[in-house]
Amino acid sequence: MWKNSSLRCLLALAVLCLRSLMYSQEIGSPGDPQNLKCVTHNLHKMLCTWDVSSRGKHGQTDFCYTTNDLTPQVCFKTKERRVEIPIPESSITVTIKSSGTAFATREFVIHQKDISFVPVTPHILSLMPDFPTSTLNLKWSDNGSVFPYGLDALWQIQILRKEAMEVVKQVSYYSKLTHEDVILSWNWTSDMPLECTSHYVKIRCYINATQFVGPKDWSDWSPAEVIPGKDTEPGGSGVFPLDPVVAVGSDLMFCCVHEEDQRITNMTYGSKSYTMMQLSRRSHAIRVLNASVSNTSGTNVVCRLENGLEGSVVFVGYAPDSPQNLSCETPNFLIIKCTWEPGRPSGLYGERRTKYSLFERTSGKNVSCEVNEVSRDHVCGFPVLPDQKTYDFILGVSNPIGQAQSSLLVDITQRVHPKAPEKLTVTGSNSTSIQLRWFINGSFAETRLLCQIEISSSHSERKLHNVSIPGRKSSTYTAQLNALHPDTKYQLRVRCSSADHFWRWSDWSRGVEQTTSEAPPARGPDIWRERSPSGESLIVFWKPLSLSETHGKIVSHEVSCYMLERLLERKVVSEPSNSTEIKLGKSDCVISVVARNHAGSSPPSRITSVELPSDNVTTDQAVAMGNGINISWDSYPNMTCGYIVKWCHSSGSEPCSVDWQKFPSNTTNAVIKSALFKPGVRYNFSLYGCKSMGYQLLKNITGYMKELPPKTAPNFIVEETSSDSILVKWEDIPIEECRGFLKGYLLSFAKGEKDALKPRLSESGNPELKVNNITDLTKKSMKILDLQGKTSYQLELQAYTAGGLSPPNSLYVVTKEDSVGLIIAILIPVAVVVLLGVLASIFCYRKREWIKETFYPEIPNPENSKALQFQRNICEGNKTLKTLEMNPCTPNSVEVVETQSTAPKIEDTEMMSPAAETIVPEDGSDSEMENHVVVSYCPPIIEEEISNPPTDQPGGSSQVVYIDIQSMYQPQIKPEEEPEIDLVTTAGYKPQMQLSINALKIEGHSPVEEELDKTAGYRPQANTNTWNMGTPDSPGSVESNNENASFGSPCSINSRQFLLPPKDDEDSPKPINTGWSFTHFFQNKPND
Amino acid sequence: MHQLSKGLSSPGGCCARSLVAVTAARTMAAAGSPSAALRRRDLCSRGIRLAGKMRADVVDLLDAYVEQQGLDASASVAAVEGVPLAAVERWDEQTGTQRLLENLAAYRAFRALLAQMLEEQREQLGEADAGLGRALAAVLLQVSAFAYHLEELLRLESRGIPGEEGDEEEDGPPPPPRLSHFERKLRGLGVLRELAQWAVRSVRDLRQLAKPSPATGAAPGLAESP
Repeated sequence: MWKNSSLRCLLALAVLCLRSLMYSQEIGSPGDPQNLKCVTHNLHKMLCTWDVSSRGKHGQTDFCYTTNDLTPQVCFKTKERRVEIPIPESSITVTIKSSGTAFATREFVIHQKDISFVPVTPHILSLMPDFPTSTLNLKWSDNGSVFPYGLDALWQIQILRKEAMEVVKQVSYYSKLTHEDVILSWNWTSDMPLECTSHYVKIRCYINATQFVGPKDWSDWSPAEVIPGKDTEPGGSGVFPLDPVVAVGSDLMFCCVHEEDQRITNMTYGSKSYTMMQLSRRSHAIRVLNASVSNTSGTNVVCRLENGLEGSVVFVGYAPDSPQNLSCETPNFLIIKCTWEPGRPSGLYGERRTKYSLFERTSGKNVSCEVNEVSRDHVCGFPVLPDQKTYDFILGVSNPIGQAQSSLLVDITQRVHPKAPEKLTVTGSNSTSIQLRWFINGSFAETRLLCQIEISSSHSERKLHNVSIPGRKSSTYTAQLNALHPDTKYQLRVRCSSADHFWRWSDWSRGVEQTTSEAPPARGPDIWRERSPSGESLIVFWKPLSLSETHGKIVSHEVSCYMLERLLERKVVSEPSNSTEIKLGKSDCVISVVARNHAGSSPPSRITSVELPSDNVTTDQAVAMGNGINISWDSYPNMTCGYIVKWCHSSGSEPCSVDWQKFPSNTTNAVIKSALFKPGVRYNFSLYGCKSMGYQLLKNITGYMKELPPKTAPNFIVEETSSDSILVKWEDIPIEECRGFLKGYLLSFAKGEKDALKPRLSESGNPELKVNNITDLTKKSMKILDLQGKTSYQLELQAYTAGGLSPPNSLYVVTKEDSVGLIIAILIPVAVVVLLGVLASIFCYRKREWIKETFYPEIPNPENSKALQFQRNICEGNKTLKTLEMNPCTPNSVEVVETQSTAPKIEDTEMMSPAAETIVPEDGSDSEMENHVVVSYCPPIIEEEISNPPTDQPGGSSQVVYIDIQSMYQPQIKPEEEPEIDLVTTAGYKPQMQLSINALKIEGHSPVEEELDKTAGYRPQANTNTWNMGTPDSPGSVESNNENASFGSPCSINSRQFLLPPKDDEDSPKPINTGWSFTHFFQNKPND
Repeated sequence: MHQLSKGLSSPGGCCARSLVAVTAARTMAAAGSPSAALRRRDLCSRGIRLAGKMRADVVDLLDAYVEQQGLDASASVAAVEGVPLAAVERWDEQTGTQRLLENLAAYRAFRALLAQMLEEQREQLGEADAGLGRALAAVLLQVSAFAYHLEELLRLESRGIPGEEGDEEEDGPPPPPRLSHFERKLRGLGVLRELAQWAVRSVRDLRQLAKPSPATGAAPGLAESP
């Protein structure tokens, strides 16, 4: 027993030891089966493989396995080294006995965790290309029937491209196994056209069996399925994709497949060339990014080969917009017309255009719509279905790029838009009514129609007349129009809509015209009468009736004259006369006028010929209103039947045409308007009052529709002129030139010489302008006072109305000289001088003792001697009296010129000049002085004077200290009479300064004198232009206080001494001064 | 008959079989009569004017077509199938009838091709480019008129008018292979170019025909034709 039990224990231990070993654990010796591996593909069975040594490779193997001790061992013989056995729940004991050796038995214990789970390699059922869309469709079976329900399956799909099988995409795909074999499908769109090169697809799977404890792994990759590119086809060539339609903004790839021996020159998209990528020896590609919309015929993709051309056309456009403003209505209850706005154009045309379809959900009916893409007239018709009022439409829009839709729910009984009525005709008419008939196509039996008739004529506004009519099925409708005007041409047209639910009016029907027949005139004409100037006959006037009153064409007027109901005379006056004359003598009658047309006569208009006498008839002025003439009058209580304002239009030479206007008796004001009134034309009105007995002239009125400025200026003349006044007279302006009521005259005057270029006085802005406004129209003359004598004045006279000023009339007048003023101007200074002389004499006489004592006493007192004091001051160098400065004036050169024949006057002048006097004592020779002209030269003084030149005198002219040398010399020098002067001057002093050319051309300079100047005689060193008449403010006048100063005396610039003594001034000619004024009288002082 | 066959075996060659169906349109005056000569001259001069106008219109259409289709005006295009080439060898040696028959065959082919182009144009563009469609239709009309004019000339010469290919075959011609858009564009370009060439050749042919025969005063073709 123990032995047995111990044996059993030993055996059990051995078994345990064996079990503790891993599978493939060798139990036996080398050469026995080893490396037992078990893999399951379906979680039910596992495939176990093992290795055997070379000795046991050929022979049968006994394979036994048992899951536990209780189950019997399963054995079977196999010649292969792989068996498929069920997967144990926990572990399995495998015994492998090779028959080749005597004892080659191995036993393996395999646990579940030792079994690998590798799904079966998937099998691609199909790989289908869709070349236009470059899409691959892959189909395979998930083989789910062998797995328990609900396992997660993960699939890995690989896309490979080109001959080199470059992986371009690897994606994962998830599915759930349902214990059934399910065919899975997957699409992939290539960015490269499938024709460009070969594409390959492989797949493998991984099943996530969470209950399985062993290692799990991906299946093997399936064999690659291939979609061969065109570059593998012999002779295959072209540009791909072929004629695609793509959305704007897409990135596109085009390839050019060609023969191997061909070379590509370039590839262009549109007009642009792109860089090529080589896909294979026979395929090249370009990539176009962000494609823009193509033109109508598409964008060409051209592949230029060395000896050929391949191409494709790509159409780039937009997916359709959702239709906007979808609206449906029925014109006739037979068809529903839906309209919409398509939105953005797709840019695709022809067979690629956007297509529309209308689907009605209630009925399930679908219609396709023919839409004109270019005219954008988007209308689609849908038939009206029986017993269906509400329609639920879906408008579907699609094109090759995309699709959109829009929906609308509509009750068509509320969306009735009939077509324009047809066959509008006039079925009857008389003078005031017209019957119309028209036809509307449609089934309107269940609704009422509201029709609108438009009535228009040339002399009335457009009128609309509404008619509500019960609808019928494709029927005619009638209506009658009343209260029309006789003899009037009417234009008529009709439009209709639904009366129950107004939606829209139809279009207007074609118009028809109808003229109503004539009727007798509505009233008698407006009449007036006037006695002829002789008083023997009566002229009757009438106004034509308006078009709305004639009721036909007026053919004549019948004028009758009744006296106490007895017909005196009857005249029929044919159109177009509007007056007639009746011989009445001095008697009166009642005039009756009747207008006649083809339909009859008007009621008569009556007026009496009696004209009541009037007295104190005044003439008033009317007010111009611009567009009419405002006439007003007092109220006359006894004028019981109103007032008549009568006037006359005159046009040219023709007799004026009478016109009038009647007013009720309570009127006192009227604005008379007429198209014949013209601005600026005077019209005469007569106001008549109406009494039961007849008409009475109340007053006359003149007026203008618009007042204008007078057309011409009044003619005026200067009647009388004095030294301080002018008397002006003017004439009336003719009435027709007044063009308004004259308000007055404006007389303007100002000083002014006659000058054609001078502007008008009123426009000149002359500050001295004086204006006299003469409002008294009776005044025809005016005296202008307070004028200056001997002065030219410009006078202007203008008339004015309310419309403005007339153009001016101008005159120039010179006032007479004022002799009294001249006399006074002379006498007053003389009197003043005399008075001063007398006063001085009296003063001297009274103070003679003092004077004598002071100035020349009998015994002179040197200290009191003013004269000596004076001289002493000079010697002290008083600078103020420069002419007496002797010390600095040391002659540095004295030139003595001997004259053969001296001009006595000049000689005298020189000899008598103060400078000469001062020189004489130094020379000490009187005889020399008679024969020589001595000129001293004092440089320091010159410097002193010239060093301060005036800045305002151009040309470098020095101060004018030589006063009037020219005017003084000119009369004295007479070359014709005293030619010897030439000799004196030619040999004389040469100037240190050239005379200016202007100086040579001074007025009165004879040619001989000019020659003298040229021959370098004496010339002052100053610009002769600056020489002028001595005036108090001239430089010479500075020294005028000095006794030696002399106006108008020439002096040397060197010596500053006057060359002519003052006394010679008396002989010198007076300055030429053409004008004389009172100021000159005081300023010139010629005798001072 | 031999002459006719020879004429039609020129590059187009499509009308050789149609000569079987020559109709006996011999209603005109005899070919040699003075009135027939005058009429032929008149027909020739009118034909020259027609061809000249057609040439100008085709050149304009060609410009518009190239621009509208986005093609390169200088692109070389293979000869269009079904159109006899305008350029032939030994043109001088051709008889008048040969000239007329070749012209007629060419213009009948152009008529069919232009009609096809017009149809494709409408199909592809819809109403988008109506101007080109109108110009195409105008040229098609001129081509039809010119073909009719050629038939008149053939009748004048007492020649039968060959029937058109489509009339003879009961089942009609096999449908042309479906071309891509680009191929259609190129084919259109080729058709118009060749038509422009043919218009020039037709003017020359008609001038040749209008020359009075030195022997009879009639067209040279009349004397040479069997």
